Amino acid sequence: MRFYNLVLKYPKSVIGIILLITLFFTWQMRHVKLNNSISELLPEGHSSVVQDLEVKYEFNSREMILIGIVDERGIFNPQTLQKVKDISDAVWKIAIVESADEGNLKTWSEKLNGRYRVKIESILTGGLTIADRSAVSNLLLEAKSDFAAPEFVSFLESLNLKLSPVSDVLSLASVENLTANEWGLRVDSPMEFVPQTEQELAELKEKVFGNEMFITGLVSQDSSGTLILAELAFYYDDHLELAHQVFQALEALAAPYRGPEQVLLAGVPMVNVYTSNYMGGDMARLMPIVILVLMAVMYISFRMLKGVLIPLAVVVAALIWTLGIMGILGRPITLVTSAMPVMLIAVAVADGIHLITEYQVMWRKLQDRDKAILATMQQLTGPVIITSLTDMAGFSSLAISSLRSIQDFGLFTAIGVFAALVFSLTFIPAALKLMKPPRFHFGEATFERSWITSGLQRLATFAIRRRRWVYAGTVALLALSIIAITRLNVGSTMVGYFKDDSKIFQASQVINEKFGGTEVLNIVVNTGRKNGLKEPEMLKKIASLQDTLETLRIIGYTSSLADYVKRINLVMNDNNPVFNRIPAKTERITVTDWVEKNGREFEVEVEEEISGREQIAQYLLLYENAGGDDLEKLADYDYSKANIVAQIRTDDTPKLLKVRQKAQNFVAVNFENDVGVYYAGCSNLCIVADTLIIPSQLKSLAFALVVVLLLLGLIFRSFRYGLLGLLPLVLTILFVFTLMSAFGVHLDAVTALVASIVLGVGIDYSVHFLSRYRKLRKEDKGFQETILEVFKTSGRAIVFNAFAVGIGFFVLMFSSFWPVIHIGWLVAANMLFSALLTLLLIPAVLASFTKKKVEIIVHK
Amino acid sequence: MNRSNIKHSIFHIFHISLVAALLIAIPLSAQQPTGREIMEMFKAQERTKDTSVEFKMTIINARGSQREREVTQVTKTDENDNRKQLIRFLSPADVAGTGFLSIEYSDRNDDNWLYLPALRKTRRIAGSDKTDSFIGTEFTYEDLDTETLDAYEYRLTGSANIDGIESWVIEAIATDFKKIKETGYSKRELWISKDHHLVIQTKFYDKDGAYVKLFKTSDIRQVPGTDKWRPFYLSMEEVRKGDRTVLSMTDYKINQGVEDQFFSERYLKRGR
Repeated sequence: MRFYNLVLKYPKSVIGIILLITLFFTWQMRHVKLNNSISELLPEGHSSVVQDLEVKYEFNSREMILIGIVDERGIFNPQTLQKVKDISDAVWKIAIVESADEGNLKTWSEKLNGRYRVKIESILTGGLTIADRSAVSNLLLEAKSDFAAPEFVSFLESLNLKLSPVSDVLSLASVENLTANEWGLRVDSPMEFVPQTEQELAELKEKVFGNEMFITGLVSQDSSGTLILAELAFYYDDHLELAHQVFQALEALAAPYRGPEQVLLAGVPMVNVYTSNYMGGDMARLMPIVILVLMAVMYISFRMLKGVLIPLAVVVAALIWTLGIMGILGRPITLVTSAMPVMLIAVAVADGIHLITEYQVMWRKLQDRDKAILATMQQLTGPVIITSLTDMAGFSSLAISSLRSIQDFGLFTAIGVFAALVFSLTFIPAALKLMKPPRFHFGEATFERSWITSGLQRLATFAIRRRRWVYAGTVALLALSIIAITRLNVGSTMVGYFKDDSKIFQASQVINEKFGGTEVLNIVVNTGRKNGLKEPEMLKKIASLQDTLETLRIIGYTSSLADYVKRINLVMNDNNPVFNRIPAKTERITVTDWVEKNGREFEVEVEEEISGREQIAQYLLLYENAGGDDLEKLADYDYSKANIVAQIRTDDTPKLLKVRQKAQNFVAVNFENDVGVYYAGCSNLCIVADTLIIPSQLKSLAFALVVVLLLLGLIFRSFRYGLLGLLPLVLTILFVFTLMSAFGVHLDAVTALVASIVLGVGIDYSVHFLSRYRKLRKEDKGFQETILEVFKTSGRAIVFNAFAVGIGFFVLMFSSFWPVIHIGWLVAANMLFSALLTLLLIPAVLASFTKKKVEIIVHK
Repeated sequence: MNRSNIKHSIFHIFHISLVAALLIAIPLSAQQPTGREIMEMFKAQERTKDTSVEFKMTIINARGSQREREVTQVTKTDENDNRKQLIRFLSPADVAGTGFLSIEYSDRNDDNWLYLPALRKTRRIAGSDKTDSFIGTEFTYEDLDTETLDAYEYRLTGSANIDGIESWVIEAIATDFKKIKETGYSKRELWISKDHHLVIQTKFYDKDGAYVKLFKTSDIRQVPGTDKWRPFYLSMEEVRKGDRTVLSMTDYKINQGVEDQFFSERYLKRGR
């Protein structure tokens, strides 16, 4: 209490110090970055992430943005094809130029010697524009070979990337077409110029549909659409900001070309950008409204403005401290940790509400500000510390997860709870001291008769008298949950997170319908030996793996080295469709040869057996010689590893998993053991993330529950009370999962977090309820009287808390992003249910046990 | 003025003019040749009737993976200024015997043939673009072509010592846009050695002016039985991606009197 006397003596200094620290952390918040990449969710150095990077590096594979140009009346007309050409050119010319870059260049030129200065000045004349691409790239090469200052080199590298963020554009105007004509193998693009006449259009159509590799890959089967593929010069995960700028540029670029054709933007990086915009945007837009509604509900409950402002200030400050610490530690906000603010609002507001409720009661009793504050703190310091410590222990135990973002989520929420604890014990008494004492519009009598109080009383009576009903309800619910949870869908879909009427959802849908699919699964076949891929048997297996995958409806398109070899075999055999296949191990052919007879030479037909492997080797040499280089994405340099690219028309992870399983089954049966097959690509990361994140989250959650149980047992010095405290928590978690199952919400990395919120909120309710109950019982009050008293104080706070947070979170249902909507209503439902269970089940159980004791005493 | 005086004066004038002449002549003799003159010297040493070379070709990508091939190449310029070339792979075994034959006519379209032993077939193929890769290397056909002096403006920009070889530095800029389109280069910087007038190094700039490739030569030897000097080691690097091709000569013959029938479709197919 000496501590609180001190706080009450210097309230302004206490608030001043807290304000200063908060300002410091506000300043640190600027370092916090948003990172919604999947690899950020996976543990660093996880084999699948490493493998994915290796595959990207090995096959120089980059992320693609799909630009669909769609017109149901067909795209083979001069106007639409002109647009295809123009958009392809424009995409190639995308450059992100910012005035800050010019400033930085200027600063460098002042620092550097004459040679660089002259070059930088020539770049800067006329301003930094796309025309300086070459000059910047030359400067970068020069700086690198001079071993110039690393900061200068890395500045030039990023500038170079900004000036040329697109590394390749594939479209009808630029894709490699291996053609079959009398000239033999030729690699050029199908549309060297935009056709104008009927005849030219027909020729183009013939070229496109004469090459299997284009159908659905580049042009839809019904010729109602064509794709432009923009390959990024960087990986989304490494350059989030640049990615966002490029996508803005793409949106701006596409707009004027729309009508009558649709110009659609899709692809994994595009979805990532939309996700981070929606997730961040909706959270940022809706959070203030959530807080506003929360305030309104709290005001209705407390009828006093400070009762609203004080707990709110605690929440906001706790959030700022936490984000500030994240900024200092350089941890980003990920898909998982983005739920942290939600979590903190739900958890950190509780102590404030309990304190204010108690203060109201105490002030009414004592009619003296200082005495009321001291009495409030005396009553609640224990429970506030206990709830906070249990919350912290519970969240910290999420750190056993191998996934960094879950660790972050647990640790940072714990830090936030700690900050809230500090405020509850310092800021709240200080603030109460500085504010005028509450003026009540109604006296003690009305307080007793208010509908909340009477409702609580009825609830308490019901819980004790009709506890059989409570038990029956609980058992019924338990049974229902078990059925429901077995039917819970596990899995995530990035595109499916968007509403049906969103741009990205619609674009993805059209592109998935008309073309190969927006998702990519890479299947890497490692023969383990140089030139292993030139063996006909190996290529045949790869081709039939593709055929097997293509029997799945969701696989739109696959490509591999085998397709190229088939194509060249066809072309080199005068387009005879019989040769649209991988050469056999030995091929019998009739050849013309010259034979000398009697000093004269004759042409004769000779039948010969030749090796298919040599044919393949020579085809590939021919391809290289014809200037082809698209193959580098499908085979490594010494032809030991093939990269099979399967395009998938959905990103629903259970379906992706099915594709991978299909491939795995085929591989197990058909490939020899010395051939290594592994999986990569965005699809694989999604599968891995799902199969890793969800069990990990559930495991950490179970562990956290055990920790909480032990802690509660320790605090109450009774294992039974610990168990009783935990009971509503466990049931609420089951109930949340039941609701998800009933409404078809998938359990994924985001929704699984809602269970953790139960943990935090549930602990608060149980601890406040039980510790007050035990304290009053120790004062030798009767059971009935104690329960009613607990309901009037703790129960009242619990209900306020549940309604305030619950209704507040309903606001998130106005989001346009499904995960945010789900978090909204699931948190709301969970708050109300958690309160209800605490207020029904705990008194019921307490009554059962107390009665037994009483009966035992009576029997004696 | 008396005669001796006149004589003296004449002598004097002569003397002065001699000094003056010397004064002029000294800088004259030390004066650099023009870029064009240097390139003419380069062109002169480059000229042969025919060459037959055998080389090992190593293509190294940015990740350090290598593809090795052995190749023979025979070229001849006949009396009608038609340039004939036969390239044949010797190894690896699975492509050995594959050959390309091309005849560039001075007055009509080029003829190109390809022979694939695994098909036992010779077929005519389309003439390659100058900017196409030469058999999958970092060299384009343009890079291996002879220099057309009239198509460029050469400017001597200085001297430099490259790997111990004193060289002139010359900037070559195509005189018309068509040439830029045809070759793919807007500019080249050449380092021509002062002793044997060979290219020691070339930097290539693409049509947008970006530095794209670096060509380097070394191991310069006299070709046996001739007065010609040639680099036996050539490398071409794509500087932005880091891919590299190294040609290392194992046999070099000049003016062996290669016969015209060597450059026939039949020879391409049968190897004799």
